[in-house]
Amino acid sequence: MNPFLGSLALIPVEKILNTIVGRDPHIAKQFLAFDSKCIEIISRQPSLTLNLRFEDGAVRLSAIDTESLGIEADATISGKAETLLRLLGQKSDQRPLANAALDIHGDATLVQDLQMTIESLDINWQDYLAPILGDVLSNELGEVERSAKDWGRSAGGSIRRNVRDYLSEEARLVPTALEVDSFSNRLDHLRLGIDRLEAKTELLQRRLALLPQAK
Amino acid sequence: MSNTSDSEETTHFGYEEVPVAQKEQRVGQVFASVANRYDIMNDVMSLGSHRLIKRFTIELSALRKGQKVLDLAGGTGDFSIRFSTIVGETGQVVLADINESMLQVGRDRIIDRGLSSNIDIAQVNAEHLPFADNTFDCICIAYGLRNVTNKEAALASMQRVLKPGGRVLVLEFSKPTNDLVGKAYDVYSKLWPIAGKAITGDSDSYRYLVESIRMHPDQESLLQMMRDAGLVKCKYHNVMGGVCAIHIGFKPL
Repeated sequence: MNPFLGSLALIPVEKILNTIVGRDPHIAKQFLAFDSKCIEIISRQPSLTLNLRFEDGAVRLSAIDTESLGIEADATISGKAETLLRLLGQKSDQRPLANAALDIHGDATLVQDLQMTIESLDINWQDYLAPILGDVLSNELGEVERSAKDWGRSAGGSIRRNVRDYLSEEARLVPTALEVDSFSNRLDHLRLGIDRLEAKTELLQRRLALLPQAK
Repeated sequence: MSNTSDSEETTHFGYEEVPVAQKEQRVGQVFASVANRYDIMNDVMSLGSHRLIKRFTIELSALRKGQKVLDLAGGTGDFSIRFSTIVGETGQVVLADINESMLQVGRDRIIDRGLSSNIDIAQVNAEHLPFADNTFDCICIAYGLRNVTNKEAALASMQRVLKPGGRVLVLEFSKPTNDLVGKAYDVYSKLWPIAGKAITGDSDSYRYLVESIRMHPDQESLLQMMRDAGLVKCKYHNVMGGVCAIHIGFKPL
């Protein structure tokens, strides 16, 4: 994406973020922990670059890559756009960064800490957007956000179930849970049988040892 | 630059060929004439887009608190005012221009905003910068390089006064990359002398500005000039379809 156009598009986003940070001392304090840090986010499909910098308690967003800016990112996270976007909705206990579709270079702890910090802030975007956009519009945006999250949760669950069923029942690429249990039970039965055979063999050997030697 | 039959070196002043020694004076007269309405004319000529281009250029500067920046050909202080906030009390901004009238306007704006504590003002010739080697973290020359008589000398001078790892930003009108954009821009820029006459009472100065844009090196030519001046990792960003371009180069470590 053209960095000039990308940077233009980020102007309102940066403004909103810094308005939120400026109005809430708690959020500002949390973000101070990341001061002078830079995280570069690279989307592969579509190809977009976003770098996120924290300077003097403010957030700086740019569509210019760190190489062009002549700075070094403390951490780089790259992946497909949909994978990156999903990070925003996932909780840290779901370990969203432990995703093979994501490449993280540099300070992975920084990325993790940032994700946990954003999650812990539990920002109600509607409250912050209302003074800027007006109550009606920010309420509408809040409804859209909540609907999107609900849809994401139900769609995610549905997709997981459908994929699991497809792989096991239709494509037969993986066994079903029942088949795995049955196989596991037969294995246990076989192991017990082997143990019993082993015990009987030992008993026979002891008895043979006690018999008088044939002349 | 070229030579006439009697061996006097000439250079372009818009579409006109003038002796090299005269160009500086002629350019000086242009900017002395437009200084008071320079910012209004920028808005008119760029339809307000110069503010967005300025923001993007500042982003490319990646300046931080405590750094030193030279706003060369900074004239009315647009960039200096913004840089002053970014580098803070521990940093330094030098607003430099060859034209006294433009600097007067810049100085007045800076004083009006109460920003003079970290901004110094200097009347300089970009071809012979009077600063020590390795002084600045960043040098920005916005819409000024095309007015310099010897651009190669100016780029070499900038390279000298940059700190190792420091960067030069050259924001200038350039060659549109798209034919349609180019044609529309050609037609639109023909209106500038007319607007200049209406707003400043001076159409000749704006005719020079339009012509000087046409005579300025294109993106690749300027890129090579920067490399020849000893800058590395040089690249450029086209904005507005190549109507403007921001070139960036670094002094080697």
